[in-house]
Amino acid sequence: MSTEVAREPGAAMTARQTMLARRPVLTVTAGGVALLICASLPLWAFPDDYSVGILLQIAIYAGYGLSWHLLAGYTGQYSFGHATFFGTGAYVLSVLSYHTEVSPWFGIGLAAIGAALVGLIVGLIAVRLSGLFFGLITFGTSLMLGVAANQLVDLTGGAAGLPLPLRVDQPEMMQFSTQVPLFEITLVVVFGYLLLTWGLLRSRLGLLFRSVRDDPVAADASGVNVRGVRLGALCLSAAMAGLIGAIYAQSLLFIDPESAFGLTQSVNAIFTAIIGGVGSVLGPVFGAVAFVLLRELGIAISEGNGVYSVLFYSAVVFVLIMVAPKGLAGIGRSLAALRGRSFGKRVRR
Amino acid sequence: MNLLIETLLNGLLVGGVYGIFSVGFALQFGTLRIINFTHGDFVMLAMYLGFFAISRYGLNPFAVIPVAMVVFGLVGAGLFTAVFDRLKDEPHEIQLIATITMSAIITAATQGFFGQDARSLDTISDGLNLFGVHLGTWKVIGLGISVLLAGGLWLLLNRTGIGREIRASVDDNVAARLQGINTRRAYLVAFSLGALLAGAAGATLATFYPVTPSIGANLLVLAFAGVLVGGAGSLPGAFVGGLLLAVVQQVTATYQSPALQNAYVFLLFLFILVVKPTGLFGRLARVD
Repeated sequence: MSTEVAREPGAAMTARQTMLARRPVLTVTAGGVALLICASLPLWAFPDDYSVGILLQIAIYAGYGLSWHLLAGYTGQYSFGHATFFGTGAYVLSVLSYHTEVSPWFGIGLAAIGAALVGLIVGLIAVRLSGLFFGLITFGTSLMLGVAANQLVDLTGGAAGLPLPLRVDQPEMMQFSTQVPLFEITLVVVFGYLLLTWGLLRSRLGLLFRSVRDDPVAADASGVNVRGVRLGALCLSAAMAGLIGAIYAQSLLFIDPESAFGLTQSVNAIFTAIIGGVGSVLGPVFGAVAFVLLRELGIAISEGNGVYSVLFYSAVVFVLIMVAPKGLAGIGRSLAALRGRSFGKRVRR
Repeated sequence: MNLLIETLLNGLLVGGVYGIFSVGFALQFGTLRIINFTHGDFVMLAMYLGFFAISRYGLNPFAVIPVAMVVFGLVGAGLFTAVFDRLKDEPHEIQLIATITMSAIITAATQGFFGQDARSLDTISDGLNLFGVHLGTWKVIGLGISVLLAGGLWLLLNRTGIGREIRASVDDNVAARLQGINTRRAYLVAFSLGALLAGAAGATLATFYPVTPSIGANLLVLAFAGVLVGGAGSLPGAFVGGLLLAVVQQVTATYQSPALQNAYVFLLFLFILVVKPTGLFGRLARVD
């Protein structure tokens, strides 16, 4: 069942892969130019604090979406509780900053390692199973860690949350006078993730990932260590999500169990990756732009009422997904395919 | 000793209701192979229906439950035709995001409409004393209703034509279609039955459990875990899974803390998965 369904986005990816493989230098150059343009956005396009905040949010959710997408898109493991890793990263950094003098520069690294360890533990149980079980185990873990963050009041501050110490204008403690440097840091991380995903697609490891997704039985028969590959992908994805979670906590200088481990945070990863379109390297980035802007628009038109904001963006995403199940990247691809053909003909990839 | 018996019995009584909505979830998942994230919200909406019908209009709960079943069965049929019938052939991730967003829409709309406050009926405190053991009256009635519904569903699935068609579609929908079975109709009926069970569970639950707009997510986790503990693909398994989880919840709530309820549910779930990955009554691990 899953194999036939999962193969569909795979076909597109292979086509894309061959296209990219032909022109790697061009792609890397284009990526570098895009990085410079994005990095300079706060200088000329969006200089005010509010816009930089939005840019930072977009970068954070792009990275978070990319980590979910690496796992689901390339190894077919759908995590319903990605907040497990996001939240672990956020809490590792916050607890370190609150209780010790460790600089967040090390903190975000430790956050990634901590999240990867959680991924390893979850994975040792979860990779033996597939599909629904995998999703539910990650979901259940996020639930348990949420309970733990609520109960361990001495360490985590409990349900009230944990404020990070304010160290105004101390770059060595990753606190700056504006949010711009943090945005640049996140941007570099996101481009690193993109490069990683893109590199994976072109490598033998990426092939292993996709073989496990498309046909685990055949992969196993060909000598692929299916569980090992799944576990490795999970740890990698967890580390990515943990690093982003740490940046998230650092950007707010506050963390609480609900925003770290809550269902909403898990759903955000899925939202971001899927609105963009699963199976496209840049999908989660488009998804993050759409997601954050929709959410801001929702907050604006509902005058700050969180409930109506959720209602608004959920409704938009729902309509979008029913109209264009291939996501934003899918719409883009269809439009590109439409060009030069008779208008009105429905083009399926 | 009395406390232990009371705790276990209360668990079993609440478990009946958990059982029937787990069965509803399993029925929908087994036929359509879609994880219906709105299932918990359906129960929540049915709880609101029950709450307002009983508290505002003074209707008898016994009259409200059948009405909720009919209403939610019809809503389920409508939802199937409008959304799930189309989703059936989409990739997993599309199904996932579509039902998750629908669930978010329902939850947020309910929050906007009724507010965050928990509401509970007076019937919540009705109690009776059996040999020194204190039990909620409506919990006892709730278990009775659940057992009746589960039995009715069993008869429907095993003793009628449409039941046979549904079972055939669950086992192998291609082979079923080759035998001339209208699988779309089987799916429609199965999905509506799932929604109907959610309606019944919600209206019953409202008589002894406070309702909040966000309760749907908690109930969904339970249905999820109940199905997997009982064994994916087994409806009796889902019922027993629901019962078991409710007992675990009650024991945790009594002897430790209600805040840890779901953590223990998850531990039980993990334990069973490690010991017997197919669940208690699972025939095959056909979950992905």
